[in-house]
Amino acid sequence: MAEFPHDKQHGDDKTDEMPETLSDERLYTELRKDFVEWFESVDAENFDEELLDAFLAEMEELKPLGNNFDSQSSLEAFHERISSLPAALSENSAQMSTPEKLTQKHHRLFYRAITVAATVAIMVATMMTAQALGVDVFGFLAKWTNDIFFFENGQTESQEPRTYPLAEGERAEYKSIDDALMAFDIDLPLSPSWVPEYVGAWKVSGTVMPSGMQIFAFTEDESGILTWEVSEFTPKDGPSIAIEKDAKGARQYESHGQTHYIIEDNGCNTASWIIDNIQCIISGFITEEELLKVIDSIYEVV
Amino acid sequence: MKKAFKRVSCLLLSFLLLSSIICANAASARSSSSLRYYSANLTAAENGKIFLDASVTGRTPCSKIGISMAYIYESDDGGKTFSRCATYYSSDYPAMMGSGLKYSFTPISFTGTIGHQYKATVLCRAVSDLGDDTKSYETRIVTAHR
Repeated sequence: MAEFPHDKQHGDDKTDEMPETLSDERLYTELRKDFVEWFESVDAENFDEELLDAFLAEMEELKPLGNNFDSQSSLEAFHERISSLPAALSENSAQMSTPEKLTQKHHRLFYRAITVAATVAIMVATMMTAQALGVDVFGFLAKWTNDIFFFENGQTESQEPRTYPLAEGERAEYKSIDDALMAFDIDLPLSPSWVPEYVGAWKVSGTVMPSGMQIFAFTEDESGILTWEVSEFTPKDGPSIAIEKDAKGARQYESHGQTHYIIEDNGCNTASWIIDNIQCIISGFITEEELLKVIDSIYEVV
Repeated sequence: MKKAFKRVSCLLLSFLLLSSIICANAASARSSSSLRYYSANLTAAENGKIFLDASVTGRTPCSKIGISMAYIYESDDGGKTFSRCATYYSSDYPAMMGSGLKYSFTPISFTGTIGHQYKATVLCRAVSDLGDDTKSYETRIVTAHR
């Protein structure tokens, strides 16, 4: 059994001299003081658990810990504490209505609006940068760099193998674009029914390359004022033509549900689009308005 | 107030930085004087045969048009690394160049090793009254097969 440094139970002289009226409260105070002194002086090696238990038991005996928690009284105390809150809020509200506070509030709103506007501006600039760097943020199929436009592989469904009227490496001339399309068994809206008056008649040829068929037409004067071309590609590899362009980006032109890309290159306007596994290109030294009219004429029923 | 000013300044600086990138890109753009559009393709056929075809269209009729040079690259590790295995020059292979508004031919074929990957870099060239210009074009990768 551990011994207290000052054990009242063992009745030393000091204890004997204590007046009989010494209250439990005072004993408890003395005991607690002894306990604190002991607890602060004892080290880990000499720690006596039994003495600790004895201290705690004696203190419990002199002043038992209360175990009478009353939830009702705690709730009432809480209500009493928060009862002053609405008043405090009203006071604050009144203070906010002062002209000075209103101005602060307006300033805060103004800076927030500026922040939002600047964020939107940065987002727009980022999109422009992406476009300038060759990423079509609206489509992802067409791409362009500073000086070329091309279609990225993908999104083309596999097609039935075409029947060619020519063997691989052979070349043939046709009277018209329609004749060539018919010869290659291509039943798609590709042939324009309108070209500017100053453009001569088409000179049309077709060939079959290892990578697919190709039909090319250009105005008869050979000045190269206007060219028309359809090139087949395998769905696996995708289209492969790189189109020269100047600093301006490509822009989309919708006609009859088909997206066409309009590319400018120092006076030479080019339109390119994909239909099935065919890349179509119309290019020439005509105005953009004329080019759009040529495109529209492809879909018009004559 | 000070904090908001800093924020707005930062956003403004970012905007200016992005705008300058766009301007720099626009300034460095260079279109061709004589080329209109072009492409090149490697196609794998039976018994390891590989064909290189090219299609080059000039802005106007050209005295010379086609591919002036073709580098062929081979890979034996599934396309991770490539090394040059052949070079073709139009001076040695006249079929690589033609004349007119358009060149569209299959001037090169070679036999590759079955299972190896191949790609080509070609120089598309057009010589006309408007100028003499060459642009580099890289084909997609093909695998030689039986």
